Amino acid sequence: MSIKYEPVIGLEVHIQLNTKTKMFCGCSNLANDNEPNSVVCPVCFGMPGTLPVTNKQAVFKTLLFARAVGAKISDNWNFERKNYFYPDLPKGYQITSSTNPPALGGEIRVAAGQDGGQFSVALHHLHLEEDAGKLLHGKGGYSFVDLNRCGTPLIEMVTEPVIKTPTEAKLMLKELQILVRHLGVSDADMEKGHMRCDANVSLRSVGEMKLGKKVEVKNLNSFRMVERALNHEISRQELLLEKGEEIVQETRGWDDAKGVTLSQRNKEDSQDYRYMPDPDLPPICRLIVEEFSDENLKKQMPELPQVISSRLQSDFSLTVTQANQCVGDINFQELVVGVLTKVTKDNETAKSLLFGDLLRIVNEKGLLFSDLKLTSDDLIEIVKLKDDGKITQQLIKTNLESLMTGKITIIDLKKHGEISTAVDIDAIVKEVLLQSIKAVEQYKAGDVKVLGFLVGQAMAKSKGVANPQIVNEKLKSHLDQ
Amino acid sequence: MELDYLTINEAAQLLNEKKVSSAELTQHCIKNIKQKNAEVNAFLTITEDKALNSAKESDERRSRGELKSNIDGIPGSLKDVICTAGVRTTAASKMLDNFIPPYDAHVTRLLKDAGAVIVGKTNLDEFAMGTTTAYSAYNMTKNPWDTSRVVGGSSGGSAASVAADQSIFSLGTDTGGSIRLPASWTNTVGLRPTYGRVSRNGVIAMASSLDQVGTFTRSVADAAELLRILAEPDTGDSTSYKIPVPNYVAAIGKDIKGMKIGVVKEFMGEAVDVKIREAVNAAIRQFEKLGAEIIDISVPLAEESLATYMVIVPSEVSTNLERYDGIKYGVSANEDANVDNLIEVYYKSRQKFGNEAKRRIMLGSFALSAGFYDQYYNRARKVQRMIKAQFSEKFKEVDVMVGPVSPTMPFKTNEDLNDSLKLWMADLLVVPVNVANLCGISVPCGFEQGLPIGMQIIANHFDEEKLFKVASAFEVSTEWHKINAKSKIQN
Repeated sequence: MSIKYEPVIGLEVHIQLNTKTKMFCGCSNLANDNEPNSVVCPVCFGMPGTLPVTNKQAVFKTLLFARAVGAKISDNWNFERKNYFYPDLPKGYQITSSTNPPALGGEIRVAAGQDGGQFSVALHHLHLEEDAGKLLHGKGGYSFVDLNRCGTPLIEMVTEPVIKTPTEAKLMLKELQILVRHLGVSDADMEKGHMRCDANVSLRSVGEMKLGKKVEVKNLNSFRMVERALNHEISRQELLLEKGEEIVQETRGWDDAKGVTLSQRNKEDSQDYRYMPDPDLPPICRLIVEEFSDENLKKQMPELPQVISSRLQSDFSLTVTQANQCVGDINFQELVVGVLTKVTKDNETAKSLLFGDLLRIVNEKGLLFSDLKLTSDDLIEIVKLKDDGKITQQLIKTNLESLMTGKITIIDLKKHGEISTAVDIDAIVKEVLLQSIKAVEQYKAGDVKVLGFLVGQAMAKSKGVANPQIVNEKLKSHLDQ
Repeated sequence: MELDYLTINEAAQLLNEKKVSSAELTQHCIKNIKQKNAEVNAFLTITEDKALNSAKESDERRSRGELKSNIDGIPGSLKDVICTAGVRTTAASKMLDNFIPPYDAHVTRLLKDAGAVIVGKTNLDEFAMGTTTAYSAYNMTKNPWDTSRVVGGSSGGSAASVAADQSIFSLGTDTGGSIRLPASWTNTVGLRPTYGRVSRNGVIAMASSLDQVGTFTRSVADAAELLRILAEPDTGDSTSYKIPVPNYVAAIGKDIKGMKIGVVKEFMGEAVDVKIREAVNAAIRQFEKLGAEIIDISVPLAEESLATYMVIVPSEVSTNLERYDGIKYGVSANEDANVDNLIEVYYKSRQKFGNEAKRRIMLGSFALSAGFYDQYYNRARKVQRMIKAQFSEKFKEVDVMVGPVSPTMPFKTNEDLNDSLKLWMADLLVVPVNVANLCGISVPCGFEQGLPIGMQIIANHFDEEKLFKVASAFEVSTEWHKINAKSKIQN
């Protein structure tokens, strides 16, 4: 990034709500992998005379999210029709609520920013709307319409243009993902399209207050793509400005394979959506629906991730990263809390077991904490065995995955530990000493550091199962004879 | 057995006394449809087999003593915007020429559950837009009283089917007078309930914030009987009011002594044919005789109703008709030889709309355009709220309001029926009810040169009981409703 220009980024994020049924009909909302047009009804097809009926659960989840981000929830808001023609839009209009939205303002707070500090992204508003279907482009010049997704409820969250870097954009989205999963309003899997993101990017001279001409970048389907596409778009605009050229206000699509953004349409083509309140849906009046009241939202609100995070940091001396890892997964969090409340709070064995080996294996193998066969009691036992010198770090490393998947039990691990202490360490030590004459000489000459090398040799010979403390003692007693 | 022009109550009594069967009543209607449809053109689809089958089932129920309701076995018809599972439903539009819904409208379901027999689907102006049925894509319906005259619209087929004794009752829709106007021109009783009283679910939308299903019958008592069945609140329509349904039938035949009847000055102006005003004035004197208190009132904002209506309706029409795009159902230009891209599919398919539909789509699209929304649609909604408030205020002084239904007698069919403005003017006195979300009923109150005249009675929202009380008191004390068009359309 040059020092002449600074980017200004605003995001529009669509969050697919994980309600049981669609936004305005009784069809299942879990239509992801079904046969095309198998999770549909006359309402999804926009058939003549059919009417939408608002899904209360979707409204509730929207309001819960709104409250969690500190947005101002409107007491009276309404759905409206956004009119345009497209084959995946059966009614010829999308039901949305952007003009008189359910909630205004709010912010997403990010605990660990680029430089480790906190930052926060102000929100413009959020609204609730229905998704359109999908087009599948097929053979013979035909396109096929799949309406399974049609009517899926979405929150559209619009940020203010306040994001300063592509990395900040990515971090904000990650924080958002944690939050909506934690609230239980969305599965928020970007790759599956549960969370979709468009970005508005503009550049301005450093020190300038006015915003430059903005470009909308679409098709950002993963955290990585968001960061890459924004970096590319910023460089592209920067190059144009350097050359003294104008930025064209337009929509560009991110081509991930080519690593570039490509122009899709410019502002002149922008449509007039002829918004009007939807006469089929009376306004949502919070005063008459108890479920949507502040009182009920407050009652239903779980402890928020950031609150949990700070509590974990202070209760167990965790780092911000460690605490956030706990917040991201309730099962992991329970495991961590279960273990750390029963060992001393600065027990590094426990922490390195939890945030090191355990987390690494889960991520590498794609396991779920909810499926693990290890309980917090098991983990405490392992920590004790290690701290008492009954098992080695190496033994834990080699056996942890089998313990996690239930292939072996703690009893098996203990046995391994006993074996490791019972191996004929004496024989191994003698063998090592015979093979390392040079090192022995060095040691005897006063170079005691070489002991470490000898321990390593012996450990390797025992294939890591020997207890290093015993190896150390045995070696010393031989050498010091 | 004399089966001509029976009311629901008369037919039910004959059925109960085993003097006639549902099958016979149904055959009587189907015979009349077949005899007169070429001339009157009230029906777009005749469901003879299904009707005879349901009639048979009804007769079997009756013999087992398992009657579903007072209308069990009574033949009726439905305006062709009311969806019927497995039966073609066109909205009188070429766009839906081949459309067979897989579902029943809520009202269709209620009628079926009550055991009613449905003999067919009736003609209308395309998508219920018009006042004569001349805008039907399947030719206009003629007035059974004088086939050189229009029957009124948009529910013209329904009105004609009752006037020509082709069904004992019919369901229509009334967005801006579409039930009351043709009722007044056919000597039938036309009821437009309060918006939200009857579910719109499964009824093809014209202007969603004003559309309402109502009835055509031969008596006020029949209208009350039907509304009791149709008014069931429906969770499938978010604008259906979840309030209890009174026993409307109990309002029939009650004394109206002391009731306050307001005569609306704005409805009795120069624009209204003098003969029509005379007939309504005579009716007002009748109310006086019956002991009601007559009060002259003025609702100045009522005169703004038509202008308000002319903005709201096209706006909603323009978005409601967007779903007819040739992609999913209905008629499509997709396979036409000269059509080779999406835009062409849209353009060519949507050319199948008639002129009035196109006019309203264009008007509405304009009114909703960015920059014009506040000036037109939003302002119209504001004026609508003012009109509503003024009516509410006036209903503190009176129980019901009365006036004429139509300012003119029915047009000749050979007049220029493409003059939109003239046709919209026919709705001058009926649209205030829709715009102010009230309920209204048209009852026969006189004749001029052999053609019927209707009087409109209007009540506050959800005050249908008052409508029935006043209308039935008038009906019981007069003979107008007993005159039928039989002599006029004998072959």
